[in-house]
Amino acid sequence: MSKELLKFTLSEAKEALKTKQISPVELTEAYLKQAEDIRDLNSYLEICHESARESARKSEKKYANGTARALEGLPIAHKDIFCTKGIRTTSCSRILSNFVPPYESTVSQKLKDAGTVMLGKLNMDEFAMGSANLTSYYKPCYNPWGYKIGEKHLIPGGSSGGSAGAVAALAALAATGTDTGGSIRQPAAFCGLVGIKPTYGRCSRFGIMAFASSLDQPGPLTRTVKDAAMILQNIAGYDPKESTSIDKPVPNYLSTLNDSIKGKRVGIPKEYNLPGLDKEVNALWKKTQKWLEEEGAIVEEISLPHTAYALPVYYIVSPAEASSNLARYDGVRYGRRVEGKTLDELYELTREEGFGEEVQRRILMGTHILSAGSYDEYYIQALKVRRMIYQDFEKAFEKIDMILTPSTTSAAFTQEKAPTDPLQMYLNDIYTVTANLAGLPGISVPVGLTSQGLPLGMQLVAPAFEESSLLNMAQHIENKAGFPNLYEAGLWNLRAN
Amino acid sequence: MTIPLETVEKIAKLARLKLPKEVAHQKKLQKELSDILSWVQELSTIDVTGVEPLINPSQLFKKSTPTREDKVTDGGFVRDVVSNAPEEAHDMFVVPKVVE
Repeated sequence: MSKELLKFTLSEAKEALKTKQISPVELTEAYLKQAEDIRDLNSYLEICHESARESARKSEKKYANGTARALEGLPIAHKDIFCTKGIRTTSCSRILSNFVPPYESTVSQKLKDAGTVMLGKLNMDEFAMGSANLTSYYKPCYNPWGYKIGEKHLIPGGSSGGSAGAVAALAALAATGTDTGGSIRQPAAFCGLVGIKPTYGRCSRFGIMAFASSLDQPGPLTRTVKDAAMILQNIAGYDPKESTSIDKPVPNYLSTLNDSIKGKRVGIPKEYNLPGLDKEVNALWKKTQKWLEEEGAIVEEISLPHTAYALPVYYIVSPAEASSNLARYDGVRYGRRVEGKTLDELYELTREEGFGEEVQRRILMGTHILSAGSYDEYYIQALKVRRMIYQDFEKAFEKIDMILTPSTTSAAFTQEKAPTDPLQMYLNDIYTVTANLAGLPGISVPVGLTSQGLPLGMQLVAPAFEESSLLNMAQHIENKAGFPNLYEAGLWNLRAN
Repeated sequence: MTIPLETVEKIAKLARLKLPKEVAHQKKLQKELSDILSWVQELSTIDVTGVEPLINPSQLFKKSTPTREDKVTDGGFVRDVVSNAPEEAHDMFVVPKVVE
């Protein structure tokens, strides 16, 4: 019986709770059990049994006395980059392996205030640096779709790999993630989920461990577009604690979800049709265009001429910001310390032990880029090209409403087949980084399966603050795609596959 | 393009990272960093005359990111602040002696 409760999506579970078909306590118990049952995926770093049960009991009372909040009693989980007061938060780095935040991130606080039940903390790439969840100090985590094709080491994508794996394996109704270059959208695509990266500043970064501050943005990973809209509704908004937070009213995302898209103009950037693009992805891209046309949208080719420069710009800007942000981990104020005879030796030994290989590589790269002599040549030049990438979008959006691209160039790969050359791994973000560089909102929607049976996603990118339009068009794609229902597909049952 | 090993050592020093001891490992790192730098080098060919750097997207949304008044809004959390310190004494962080 308990597994049957996993069939409800977030919005369906809310209805079932409201109509007293199910109770928050039994729903939470079902999810805690499922989180235990998918241990092999290594999605969860920590399962918070006691605090989850306590919130569920509180929600039970709220439903009983008619004071239920927007997401009352709905079990979710957080990427381990969100500071949770009194609950260990590590960013999956050894250097923070003993860190217990004395405060709560704004996003997790808002979700708490909306009544959600927090099940636990989720695996990720160390400090969100990675595209396959292979850089985590707490070992890789896996993609439940792999179990369906006999590949237990299928990667879930990254950096929000634990978030995607847990939601796809029905071990949380939704999860938070962060997206610096595609870290929500790429894992969502690889795991058959919806993932949205809102406009830069739409959701507060307060209490989220910083990777690249001008690119980082939190958002949800969910089973459906409607679920994504429900979570976004509750985490978006102005936060005086965050200097880049946007002070604009948050529209009602649910009310426009099913609006007609007749006459909407959708741009297909010709630069995204790369030689390396997988045939099946390309076919689904075309199919999605057809679906949108059937719904009355007008599809046309556009040009974003500086697209090819986006990845190099990203791999200058993000390590530069990271090297500066990660300077705070010095073994003095928090985190692990390795004793040294002098303060400098203490810093060096602490950071050498505490950071993994990829993080060290990016710190070195960023330090080099920001050092005298390289600053103008690399950093400033990259920031100028960054503006040109933004201007490409600005110009395109004069004539069109939305851009449609694949989310990834192929489906998920196995740990064994993952590139060992860092540069090859970086190419994973090729379709997603542009939205981060330009600060624009993007969403990945599952559209179909490969012949091998692995999910593929399409990405929509909209003008700044147009999350409503983004979700609306994504809803139409979801309706047309008829992507398999995760519960019926049996993704929760790792043993059956 | 290859970054000299001395430059790798210099940036490691600046970043307060201890380089791996084995020479083979250092060379691997040198190669990886050189490869990435060669790859991003293509940006230098772009004409950026008259283009202002875009440091942060909030520059584009200026009107929507107000600054608040510069005043203290909380405080008195000394115990919280030092609660994660590897070593603390008298509500302060302890480090190796820095003054002779």
